[in-house]
Amino acid sequence: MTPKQDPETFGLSVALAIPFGSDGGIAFRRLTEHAAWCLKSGCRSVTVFGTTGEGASFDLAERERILGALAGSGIAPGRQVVACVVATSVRGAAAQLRQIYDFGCRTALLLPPFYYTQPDEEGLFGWFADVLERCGTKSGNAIIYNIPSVTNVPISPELVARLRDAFPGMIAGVKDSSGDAGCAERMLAAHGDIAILVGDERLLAAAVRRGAQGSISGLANVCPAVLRTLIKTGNDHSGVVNLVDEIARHSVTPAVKALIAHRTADADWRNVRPPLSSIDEAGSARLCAVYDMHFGESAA
Amino acid sequence: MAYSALLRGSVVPVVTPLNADMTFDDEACRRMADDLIERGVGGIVALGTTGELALVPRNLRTQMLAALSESIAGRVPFIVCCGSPNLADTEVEVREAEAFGANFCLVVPSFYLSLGTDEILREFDALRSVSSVGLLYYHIPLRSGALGGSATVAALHKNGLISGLKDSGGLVPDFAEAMMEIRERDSSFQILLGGSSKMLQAAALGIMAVTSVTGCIAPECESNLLAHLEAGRITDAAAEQRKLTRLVRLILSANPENAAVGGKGILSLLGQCKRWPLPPFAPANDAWLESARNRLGEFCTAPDFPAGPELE
Repeated sequence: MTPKQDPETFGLSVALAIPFGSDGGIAFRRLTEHAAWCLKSGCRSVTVFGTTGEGASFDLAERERILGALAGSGIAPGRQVVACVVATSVRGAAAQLRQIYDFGCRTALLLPPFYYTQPDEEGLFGWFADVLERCGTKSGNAIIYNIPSVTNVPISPELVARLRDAFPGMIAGVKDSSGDAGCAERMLAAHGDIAILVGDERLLAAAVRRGAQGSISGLANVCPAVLRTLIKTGNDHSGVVNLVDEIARHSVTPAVKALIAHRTADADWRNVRPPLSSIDEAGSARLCAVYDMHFGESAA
Repeated sequence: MAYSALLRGSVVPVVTPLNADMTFDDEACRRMADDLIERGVGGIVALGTTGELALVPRNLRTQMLAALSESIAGRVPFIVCCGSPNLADTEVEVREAEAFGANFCLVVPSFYLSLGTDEILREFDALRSVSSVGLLYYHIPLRSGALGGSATVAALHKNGLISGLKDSGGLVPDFAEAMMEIRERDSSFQILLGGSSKMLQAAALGIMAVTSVTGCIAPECESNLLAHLEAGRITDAAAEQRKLTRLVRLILSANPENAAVGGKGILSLLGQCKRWPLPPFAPANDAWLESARNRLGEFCTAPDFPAGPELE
């Protein structure tokens, strides 16, 4: 079965890993080179500050420098950069969102507040509404980020509907990283006219066949071309499933960075910021072996 | 500011008092601190889970610390909860707490990603390098998602990174036992029980300090429980425990996810602060407040709480 709708509406966005030097500082040249490679290899945009991109480890000043480096390298913020808001207070989230829009990015990925688990839907709606209103409803779009395994705050189709009603045209999609195919299906049934994006690449092909518009993907840091084809065709890919299974044995960001280090032959890519730790050599070797077996030279 | 004695009694996690427009209510903050100190509490915790840690914006946090620092003025231990999704921000919070004279920082591991022992050690090592204030590990896995258990705490202690911990993990027997083993080796190791529902059990193990929303409302119940237990009046201690358990249930009936909702609701009835929590939480509603008002006499014997409408 082929995809039900044009999968290129959103397509593939890489959940961009951010390279660090051994001192923990951002390695800007490697960052822009990597972003350019991802875009050249099949991604329509780069998403910064998400879960894979260690978004929680950057303050406002660093976020600005990263956005600036991407724009300075010729990547168009409006078309090619999505940026994630990772904050728990309304004011903190609004400050990040305002910065994203002020930088010219059209689309932000918006997490719910976390720490306190499962606030009621009325409160969640009020939180999102307050954040969006503080930034001006004509400033840009927002993709609502559903990742309950991390936030403990599930996003329901009903909440998305309320936000769409309250902010017409502003809610551009939902990134569903619930890892639950049923959740993506419910979102598609209720909101198939906006971009439903699947975070777990193992569920991506099936979701695309049901109408999902693409993915914001950590795996796109190492095999964007394969994922681009998967999104275009809706065809399953056993290598993608096997590699994600192997990544899931580790902390995701260090695992993805180990793969980038392997692909680029640049060991510095393995650096992560505290409190994360790099994965050990044995784990890295196993991971890279799975990658080589399925992708090898075809990754890009 | 160094503090070497063991924390003891009701170490109260004050709520963060707000006006209806979400600005800081400085007057209420100072009033609550003074009232609690006069009632003999064993310490004050700012910006903990009850203090809406994760939802408080930066400027409000600073206002809260300034008001509490001045009000407490060294009369009781001052503990500041620090923690965010971002280690750099937590470092700033720890430095700020130290500048405001905190005796300890109660640190929640970064709470976006679920951290294991190695990551938590790295985080506390980084915090240790930016401040000399005593660090307490905040064991609250339900909120932080941190995977570290007793082995993590033991490693933090062995590496000289913490002065103690607060256990909000439900007083799991093995965990509590491991903490007491550390205390046996290091008599200065601070152990705070998070929540008062199991205070009697904790006290029986030798954990004599509690940090619970109930302390905001009825710290006497907590101190009485300990006094009864130490005097061998087990029945009286058990009666206080039952009272505390009922108060916890009452508070959480306003909102089981955020004790600040019910806590502030009751404190508004007592004329201490207004009832507003930070978004995404809604304040206790009128029906709940009326029901709570009818039960307050069971818990609050010391102050004369107003019979009229709650503080708005």
